[in-house]
Amino acid sequence: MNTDELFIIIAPNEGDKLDSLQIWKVRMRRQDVKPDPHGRTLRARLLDKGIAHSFYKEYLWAIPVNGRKVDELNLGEVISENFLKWVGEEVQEINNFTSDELWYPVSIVLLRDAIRYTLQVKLKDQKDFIIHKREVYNKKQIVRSDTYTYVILGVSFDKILRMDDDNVCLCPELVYECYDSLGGVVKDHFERQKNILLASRCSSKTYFERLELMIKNIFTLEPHLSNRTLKFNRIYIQISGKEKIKQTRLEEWL
Amino acid sequence: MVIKDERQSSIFTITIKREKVEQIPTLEVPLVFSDKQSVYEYLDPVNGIIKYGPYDINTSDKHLSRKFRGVELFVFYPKNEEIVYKTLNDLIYILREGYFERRGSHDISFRGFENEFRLKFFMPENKEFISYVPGNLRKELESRKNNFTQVFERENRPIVIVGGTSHRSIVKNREQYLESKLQFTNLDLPCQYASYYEYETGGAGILYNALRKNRPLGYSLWNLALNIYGKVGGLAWVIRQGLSKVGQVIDLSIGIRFVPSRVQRGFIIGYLTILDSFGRLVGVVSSPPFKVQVEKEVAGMVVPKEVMENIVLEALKKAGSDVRVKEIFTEKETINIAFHRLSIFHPQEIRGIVSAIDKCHRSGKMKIEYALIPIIDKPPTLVFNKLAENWNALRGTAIRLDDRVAILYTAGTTRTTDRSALSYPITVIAQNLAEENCPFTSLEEVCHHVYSLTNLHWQTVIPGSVRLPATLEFAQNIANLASFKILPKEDSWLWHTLWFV
Repeated sequence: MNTDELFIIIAPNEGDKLDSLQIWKVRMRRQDVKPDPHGRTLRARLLDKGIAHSFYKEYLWAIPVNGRKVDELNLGEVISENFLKWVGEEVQEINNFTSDELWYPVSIVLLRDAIRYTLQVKLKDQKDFIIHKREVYNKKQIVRSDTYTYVILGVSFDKILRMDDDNVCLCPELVYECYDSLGGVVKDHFERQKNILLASRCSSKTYFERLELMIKNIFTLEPHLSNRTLKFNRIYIQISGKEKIKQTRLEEWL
Repeated sequence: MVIKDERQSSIFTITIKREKVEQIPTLEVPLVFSDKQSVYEYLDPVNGIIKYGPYDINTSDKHLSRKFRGVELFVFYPKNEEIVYKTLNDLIYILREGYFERRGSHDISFRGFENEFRLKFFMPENKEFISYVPGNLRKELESRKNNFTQVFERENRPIVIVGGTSHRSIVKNREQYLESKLQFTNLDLPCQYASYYEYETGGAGILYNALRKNRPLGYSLWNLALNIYGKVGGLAWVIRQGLSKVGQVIDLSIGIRFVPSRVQRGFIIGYLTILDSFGRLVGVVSSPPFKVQVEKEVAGMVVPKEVMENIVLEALKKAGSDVRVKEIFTEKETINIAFHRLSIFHPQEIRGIVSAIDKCHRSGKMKIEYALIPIIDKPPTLVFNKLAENWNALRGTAIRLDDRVAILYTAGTTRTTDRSALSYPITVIAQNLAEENCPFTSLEEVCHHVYSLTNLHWQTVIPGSVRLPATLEFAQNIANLASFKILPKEDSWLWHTLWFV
């Protein structure tokens, strides 16, 4: 008798594949970033303009994530505002976005920016949600509370993996945050950890129900990467089950 | 502390192949307590030890059989900690006389150390317990060195039980725990800490529980006894690591872990633990401190080729110097070695390993096949089983993500009716599968191998409570202790024991 009916948390991209991706490359160094009078990071500044970026091998790799194509945005203007010096940008069409060479230093960084931007745009009018980078928390989803603290539920989209050829998937996972009765994040590290640990202890079924609860307000998620639009619509894939077998031929090793 | 980014970032190297995603049939690996044990007899540690006793009294293998007659216990406690003294007294009494109460449904009896582990157990009376002032333990030990060395003359093994209000996993009074570990290890004495503490998140030390009649104690006692047995060099059970090629086994499994040097800022020390085909700990080697390399294309750190070459060469020499391994090496034409580490092997690290193996080739006649198996303790994702009561994936569930990558549940529930919390799988990568020198022929086989090594949980009698295979689990413990300069001397007898569990 089969005792398993398995499914795995994977949200495959069902939108465009990531081949022939148009991207900007600008010869410059991280050291040439202009300081921001408001103290904002370069990432925050560029994402405000709808641009994701990464530095790799003496180049700034940048891509619009706001649904515009590379030829619809004036990158030079954005660069002039944020960098002390640079050498003219070029548009490249790349077919190795998910290659080993680019994946870790460039592609994941751009994808993370794209997801962060999309979450901000999609949830900007939803007052119950708190967005922290690629994590979304729901203030109304309290999973544990005591006299002075409570823990709310969130979901993280940090885990972005490559899938098949020129494609990616998300592996969303639950995250938690602990607040005090005044609505601030609990500062005491041990108190915070303790409450989060207790809140996160649950069965797989509860975990999955919590994940679905969070995801239903977020999916379908459609991040843009210049001329490509990704589409994340569902969070799991069914797997066929096989029974566990027992070790035989023990004598052989005696 | 283990290098954090090693564990965090390696999952991003994975590419999932959707058409390959499937469940891999896993092999349930029996714990072996006796050479005479039936092939089909699957016993958990408690039932195995009750029925057969520990493996090392049942084997005819002269290298694996128990070399000592009994265990002599020394008991220490911090001065003015009356509650620790009192509960230690209770604990020692129970270790001697046994525990037959049933404190709730999740409890188990324990017939006393001597009966369960089938050896002589010499325990002090409570007036012989030794009090010490925390911070001055070294001074207290000066005058007692002879007492410890005389134990060996009686063909027994010494072990020290230290009571205290700390534990290695909590910060409060941690210096007491570290002091006792350091001072006793310096004296070549294995040390078992017994804690009087309670977590706010649930769980408590054995001394805390010993005092409370409403707290089950049976499993804690079994765990304590198993720890003591391992720390004096006993071998409670073994496992068999078979390969599909007839007559072939993984002869050596080597776990590699790294820890930041506390002496030289920015430097790393590597620790390698070596297990033989039965899972017996053959030895541990460490690297000198080295400067870590970071490459932007690579998730995690990169070990310089020369460093990797030297520590692997040293590990192979160490294994070759072990009497039993040496015998096996001389009988075999091909030696199979599995290397485990917590992140992907970088090409220059592989060059280091290959170079070390080549040097061994030149000095010996046997051929060496090697498997490179990154085992990442952070999973890329989770699996749910809808037919299980709480949807928990069973221990042993393995899911292929592509030709060389699987996630494997090594901890957690063993029955679909279990109501425990979800557990997290590990990621197993067969990095050189299908290459000429790899002893494994399939990802299934690699998963079996890793899974079987998670059955060497000699620090606990509860199956499914340790996620990583013994190679990496042991290396982590040693690396953690070493980061506090707690390491036995090079020629210490402790290297043949589980002094670090």
